[in-house]
Amino acid sequence: MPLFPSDEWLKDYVERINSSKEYEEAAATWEGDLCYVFEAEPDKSVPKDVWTWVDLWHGKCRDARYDVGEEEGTKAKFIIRAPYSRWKQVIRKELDPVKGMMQGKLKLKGDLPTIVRNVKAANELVNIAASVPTDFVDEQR
Amino acid sequence: MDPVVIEPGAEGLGEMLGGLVRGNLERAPQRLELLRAPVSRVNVRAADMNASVGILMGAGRFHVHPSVLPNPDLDIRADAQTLLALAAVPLRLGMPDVATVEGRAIVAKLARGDLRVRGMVGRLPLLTRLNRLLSAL
Repeated sequence: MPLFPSDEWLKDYVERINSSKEYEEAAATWEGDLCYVFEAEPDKSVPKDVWTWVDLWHGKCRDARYDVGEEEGTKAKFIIRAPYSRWKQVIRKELDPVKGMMQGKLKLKGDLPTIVRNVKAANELVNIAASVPTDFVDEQR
Repeated sequence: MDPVVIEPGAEGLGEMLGGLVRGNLERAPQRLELLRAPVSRVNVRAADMNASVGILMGAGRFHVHPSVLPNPDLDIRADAQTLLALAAVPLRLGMPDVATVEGRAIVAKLARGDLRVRGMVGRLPLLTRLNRLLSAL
């Protein structure tokens, strides 16, 4: 099973995005790249921030790159950042991302009206992430 | 000068509401007119998250505070998803358009008490201004 976070996990995630009819429909008008930032938690085997970039366009993911770094990552139209363990909760569906953003547990940078207009697409991205069979890096022995 | 001010401590819900209004004003600057009225007090409470903010709206500003304000003109209470849905619902004359599925869903929530708007009847113009400011459509 792919390890989260990793390039292998990202590849699986992207493949599922591009195979998802639900996402394609929900994100039909979405234009804009997105960077997920998995913030460092050294005690959980995530020693540094990981900036993971996905290029989302009209229901598909055109490109994706793992660990692009902050300089590159900050150019994305949307940035969502949270500590690694929060992302783990999101992927396990233990934390609803909308609630998480409203509680300040996930920090979103970017045009909020666009996110609100496309909340179905955003929810699908989370559902897809939850569908990736995942081993978590802090649970490795 | 940025008409939207988000006080420290208003992260999360405050940032979302303030960020929405800021984005809407950037996209449609004519909506600044909606902030010209005298200052009103609006509280927004996310019932399922124990998060709430107070907003001073008017005189050219949308000023978000990290806690509710006393004697509000409007007091809005709903769960997080409903608050978000309010920003995505099509409007007619500043109120949820009941000719749409989304509009009827909001009205149904109001009827059930899942969405509560205290002060709605007496402050309808304020509510319609707020709806138009928040609307992402």
